[in-house]
Amino acid sequence: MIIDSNVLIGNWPFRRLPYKDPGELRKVLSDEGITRVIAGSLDAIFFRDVQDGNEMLYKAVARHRDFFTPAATINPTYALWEKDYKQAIEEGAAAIRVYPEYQNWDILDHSSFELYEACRKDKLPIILTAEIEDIRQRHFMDNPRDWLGGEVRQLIEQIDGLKVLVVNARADRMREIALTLPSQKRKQVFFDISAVWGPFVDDIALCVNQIGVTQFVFGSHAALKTPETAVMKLKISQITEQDKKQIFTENIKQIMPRLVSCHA
Amino acid sequence: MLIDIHGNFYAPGSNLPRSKTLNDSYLSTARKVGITHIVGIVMGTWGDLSHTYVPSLDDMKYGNRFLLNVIEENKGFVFGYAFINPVYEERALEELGFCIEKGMIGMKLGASVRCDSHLLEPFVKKCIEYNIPILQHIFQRRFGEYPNVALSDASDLARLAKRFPEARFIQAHIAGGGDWQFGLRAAADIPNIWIDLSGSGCDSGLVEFALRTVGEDRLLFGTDLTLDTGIVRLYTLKRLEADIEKISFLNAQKVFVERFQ
Repeated sequence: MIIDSNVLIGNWPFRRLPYKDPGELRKVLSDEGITRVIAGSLDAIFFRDVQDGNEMLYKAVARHRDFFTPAATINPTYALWEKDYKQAIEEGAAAIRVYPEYQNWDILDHSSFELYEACRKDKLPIILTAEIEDIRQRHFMDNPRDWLGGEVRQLIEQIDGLKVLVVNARADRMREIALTLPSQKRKQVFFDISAVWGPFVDDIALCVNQIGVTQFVFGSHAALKTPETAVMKLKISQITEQDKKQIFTENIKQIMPRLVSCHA
Repeated sequence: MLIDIHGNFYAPGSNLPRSKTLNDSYLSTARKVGITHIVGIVMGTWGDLSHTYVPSLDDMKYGNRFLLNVIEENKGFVFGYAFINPVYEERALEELGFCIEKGMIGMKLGASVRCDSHLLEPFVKKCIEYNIPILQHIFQRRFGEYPNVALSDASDLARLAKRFPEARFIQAHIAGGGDWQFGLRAAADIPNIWIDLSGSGCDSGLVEFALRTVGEDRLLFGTDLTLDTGIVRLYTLKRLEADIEKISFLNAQKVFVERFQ
């Protein structure tokens, strides 16, 4: 059993993705042993009103709610975002995805703290994406503002209990964020493995040893990436079988309690 | 048979964390996943004594000597590319000759000079004479210039390959960062460019696009720094019903003129 914390459904403006609908994507993920997926909307990243993307997502996964759990996208600088958030709760979202780098606001913007507080209270982790696509291959119009590890660190230091999941980050970025936090605060930040190098360099083993296995979850970054690679690199990583199990399945349940309650 | 046409080894003093353990890790993991032959490179000291992709003469020689040791210690399993900086002209040609005489079977170019540099011509001619392929480090699509390097992109390599149709070129790490669609399209109609499928990237659709544009006769299995992505690409090719034997070893045997037993 594998739970995938990082899947995006929809259209990406800069290249055609190979899966035409959630059913086809579900089959590809299932073939790799993935049994549950937390899915966000790709379209919402670029929509002025992200709620259009959320609604497309809710509709797309409606027939697959036994497999896909939505992660709603919220832009806390946009009018009436509170209503989008409320609907996310009603739709059973297990996490909130934010894209300050694409939507022109700062992680530490005053206006965003209301969202973070709500997430903390409702036990919803915030998902930040280190990069949607590798910087070396981006289209010239795919030009997100880089957010810094220091900003994530400040956010975590300011809000006790808020959980932040950073997805599609490479090892150096994980270490930049986690290793500069005090050990107690480090427990608030988590990472998926979708962009970490597997063997033989095996940055998974390096990061697990340095940061701690409890801070890692499985994530594939499908539909932009192939889920097979994420599964394979974790399977052949030089960490213990128990650690692999925690990353494949167990840790995510601690980070996303709503995932458990939604599907209990 | 499974031939990894893009392996890396690290000499003592390399500017990489854990470099001492990486060689053992690579060799043992490669065996575990079924790789039977490796064609490797040592890129000098990986930036410690000179730029990784623009090695000094000493750095280049140091890496090549270390690779000869690795080949000797792993006879029949590890083969090698001479890592060459053409800026050193005659002295670099001597180094290439030395490496080939000692048994290396290809030449690797970094980013010392761009593919269209006149400095490269004698090296390409020498490779034709030695009947060895050239592995060219590629940034799939570059926009302008980058500091301290003369990066070539896939269209630069395509122009070079057209000028020397009798030479065999390997376009490095299609999944190693950069616009792989551009890289594959640039090589699509150039019969003397083979695509090295290595690289840490694992974008959905890459393998399908490679099959569609370049075709299974010019794809080569490779790993570079990540074995998992290379192996998964083979699985994907199998799922797509591509000729796995060609991509695993038959194409490599052709490029390296049947060097592997």
